[in-house]
Amino acid sequence: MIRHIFQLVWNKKRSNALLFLEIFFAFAILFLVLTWVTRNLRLFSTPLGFETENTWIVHLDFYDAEDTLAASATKVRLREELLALPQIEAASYGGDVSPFSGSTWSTNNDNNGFMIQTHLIFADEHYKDAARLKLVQGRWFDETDRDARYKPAVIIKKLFDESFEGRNLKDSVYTINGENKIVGVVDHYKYHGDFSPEYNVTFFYKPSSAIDMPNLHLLLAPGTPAAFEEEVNRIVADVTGMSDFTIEHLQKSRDLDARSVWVPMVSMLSICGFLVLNVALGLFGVLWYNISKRRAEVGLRRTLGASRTEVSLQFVGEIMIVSLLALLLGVIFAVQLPLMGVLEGEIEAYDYYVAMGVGAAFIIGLVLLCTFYPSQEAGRLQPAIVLHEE
Amino acid sequence: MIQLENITKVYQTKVIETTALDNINIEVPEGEFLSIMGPSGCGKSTLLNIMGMIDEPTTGQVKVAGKLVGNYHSKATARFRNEQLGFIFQSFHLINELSVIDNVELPLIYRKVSGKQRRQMAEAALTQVGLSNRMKHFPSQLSGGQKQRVAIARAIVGQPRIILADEPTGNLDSAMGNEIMDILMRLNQEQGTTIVMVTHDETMARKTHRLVRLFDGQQVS
Amino acid sequence: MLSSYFKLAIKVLGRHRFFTFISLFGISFTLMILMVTTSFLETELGSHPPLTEKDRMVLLPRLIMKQMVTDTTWSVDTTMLDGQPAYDSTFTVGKKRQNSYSSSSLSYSFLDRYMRDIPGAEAHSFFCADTQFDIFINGKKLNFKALYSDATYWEIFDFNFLAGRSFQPSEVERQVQVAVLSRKAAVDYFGTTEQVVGRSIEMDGKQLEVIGIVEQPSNSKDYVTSEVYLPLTLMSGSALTETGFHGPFTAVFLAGSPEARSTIVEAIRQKADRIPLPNPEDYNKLELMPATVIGLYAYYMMPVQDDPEGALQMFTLVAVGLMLLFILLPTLNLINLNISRAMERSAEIGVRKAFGAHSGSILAQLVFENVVLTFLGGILGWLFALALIYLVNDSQVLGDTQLQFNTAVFLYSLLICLVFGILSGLLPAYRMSKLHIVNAIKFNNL
Repeated sequence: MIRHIFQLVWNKKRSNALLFLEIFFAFAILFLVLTWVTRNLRLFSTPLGFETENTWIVHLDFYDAEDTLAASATKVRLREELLALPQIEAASYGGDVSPFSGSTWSTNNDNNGFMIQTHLIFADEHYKDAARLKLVQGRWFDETDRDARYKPAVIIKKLFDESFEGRNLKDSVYTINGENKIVGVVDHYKYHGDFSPEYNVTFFYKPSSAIDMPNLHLLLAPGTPAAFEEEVNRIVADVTGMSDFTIEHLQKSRDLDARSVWVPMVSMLSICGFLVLNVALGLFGVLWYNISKRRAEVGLRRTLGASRTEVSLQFVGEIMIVSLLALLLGVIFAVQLPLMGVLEGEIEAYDYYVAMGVGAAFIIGLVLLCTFYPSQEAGRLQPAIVLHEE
Repeated sequence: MIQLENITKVYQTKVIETTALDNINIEVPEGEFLSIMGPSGCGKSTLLNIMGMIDEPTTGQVKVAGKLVGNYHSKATARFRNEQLGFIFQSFHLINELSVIDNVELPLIYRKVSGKQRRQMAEAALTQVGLSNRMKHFPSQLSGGQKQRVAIARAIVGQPRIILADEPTGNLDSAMGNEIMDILMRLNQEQGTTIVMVTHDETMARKTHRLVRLFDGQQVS
Repeated sequence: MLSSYFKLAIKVLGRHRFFTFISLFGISFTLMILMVTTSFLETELGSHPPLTEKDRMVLLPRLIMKQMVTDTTWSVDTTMLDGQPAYDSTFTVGKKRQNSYSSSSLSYSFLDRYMRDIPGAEAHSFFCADTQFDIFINGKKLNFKALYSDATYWEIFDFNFLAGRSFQPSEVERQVQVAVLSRKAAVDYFGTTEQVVGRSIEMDGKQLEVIGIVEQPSNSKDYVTSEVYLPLTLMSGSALTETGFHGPFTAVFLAGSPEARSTIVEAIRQKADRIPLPNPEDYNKLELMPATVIGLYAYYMMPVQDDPEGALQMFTLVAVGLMLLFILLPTLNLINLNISRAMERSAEIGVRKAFGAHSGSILAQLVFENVVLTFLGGILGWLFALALIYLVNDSQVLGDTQLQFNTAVFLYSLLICLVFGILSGLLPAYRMSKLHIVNAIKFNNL
């Protein structure tokens, strides 16, 4: 039977060539889009690691200050005044690199005898509470770190697993950014957004009063009304005497950042869906037509003793073989991407294989769906009637 | 009008070679009504197709209306067919999507004839076959005999000098067949159109000037 | 002849409703997406106010400082010579390598000192589009972007003024507290655009007099889109006096013609080599990154460092590639359907040929029929595209960008329809036109 169908497919290679091409390209497009979607969803599934709900960041700028001591004092006073408000649960100063801003500061070295590659974030002793970071080991920074001999650092679990697993953290000094002592490990910190890969991150301590810690993170009590922002604005303006600061709602920034991935992803998926639907309808139409052209053949086969199912199977089989061959070619091409490690770091082999599997399964399902009805119809033809028509 | 010299037609597939026509020599003088008879598969349709320049002989020479046929696919051949030849088929071959008058106009579309003139010529041709009252109908609304009369109108609308008819009465009952035959004979007599007709029907064939019989690709009389 | 083809085309479409539906579905959606894409590109990259003269502009958004070091490698080879090890040392001067790198927009003092006399530039303007203010009005927070510029900014960018005027050089010089608002900003702040000119807006601790209102740019670019436009002399702090090279400013130069842009680009690049660096031990190489409007657009989309022209090439390549890949499937599908459909009409083709149609006219007829089909699909696609554009603009998924469907897009769409129709009709039509008459008629199923 299979051999017979192969023969049929081969004999009609010219008309099957187009079908073959169509399936091949449909798979190619589906594979590329699904790879990208799988990657995004995989990244989306790991937690962000810090609070964005009810969090504001006041973006200040003290670099122009002539009297840095006075500016430091102002900073500390501003924090205290804000914290005194019942609506504000925690307040913390952070460095220039703030979440979702797209900026990065990174470093790498192998001075310790093993490779360390990490992004740097500067935070004060209050940041753990303000951002609700989750410690999995050790401690967060505290007052005593200001005068520590070796600058304390907190790393995220990914960096710990990659470079420090099994090493002694307590008593060793490592070179990360200068000589550092690792005092704690937090679980996640995906500050580039929900769809960003989890980069290695190391937090370094800087006191709240430092001039280069311009961003004031505020954690608000749940249910704080939006009008409260005007009060914060007024206090900041009064205390600092500045007017060119802005207040960022972190949740909004997070949503905006996520939307920049959701929008293209959903539109690509819809375009893909349309293309596939188009191919499916085309397949259905062509098959329908072919079967109506081959009524005589069906009649003859039935007369010669083929059962209904055999006739249906024959038609499904023909299209299926062409589709499988096209998919095979597609997979041969597709599998090169993970094998050659294309875009390694951004896209993992896992993404490629999932996309390949889902894409192929989807196309096979679609082909079955589109061939089922016309083939059933073919099986149902009455041999006597069809042959008489001829 | 039509001269066939040493015409042979061989159909070749990978496996076998079939000789459809074997060394045929026929001359059809201008104004003759010739019929060709023979059993199924004797090659009579092939012969007619070769006369109509829509099929190419394997060997031999075809001269139609004084023109030696060279390249069968050239624009000039298409043009020549358009101006000199008219075809009538057993199963009418009308275009279902077009109305009767549009079907009749078809050959004129491939000439430089204005729309108004086309219409006039098509009306004249339809009047000639007695269907002037059916111009706006569609083929599906006509009987077999009417369809064939439309096909004749289509064949004569361009005023060709030769009409080639492939079993024009084959799908019709005898009353309708006679009607068609009358139109063809009148055409031959009144306008001097040369007609070659392939037929199964002895009585139809006897009405024509001359009868050629084919058997297994050879001319037997 | 065409009218008869047209009649027939419509009849044929009516005969196989299901096939027609499938074909139209594919065509209309394909064309819809192509039209929306065209509209997007036209909105983003077309010549509209305030970027009508975009093809004559050169922007200078970035200054790069590098430290280049030359690698020197010592290597010692050990060879055995007469049973004794012998040492042979070589020293290689390697390639220049980049050690530190710093890239940012420019400072006012740098621009003022070095970029005022660029050959080929008819006009230039320096501006800072980097500041934001939170303004509270009636308990509502407004986040306003402020763009500080000189007076020539308004000559280079032809904003549509809904009311009032731009600020003058003398006003910039005298630090007059005036502001131009965007339409949206005026509505947000005053609740109307009527009689706003002459009223004042409180921002940055100042009372600014509104002297003009401009229409929003339809294509959002950070160097023209803003809520408030102010004279640059109103900037606070040391923004104008700071002597470092990096700062918040961007420069724009206007060339006499699109071709003359290359003179400006070349002049800026050459100038970079002649400017002495303040701290040669930190950075010893200065580069300036001039860019055309389109080059800069591509630069923000593509991961190409400091090379807008390279980015533009990459962008074009990616865009054309994606487009082709996208058109490929619907085209293949339509060809497939057309072949099935055309086969059915082989007898008709045979008859036409017997009555004197040559291959060329059959080809023309079938392609024409497909073009008719494509245009029907095009009309549907156009309606869908209008609906989609409305939805996109309404929901603001593209931010401030408001897609337009203007004459240019319409003409492009016509062209797209035609190309798509011919492309997908040609192969099936060619096959049919080459059919042998005798075989064609034998199909016998008119």
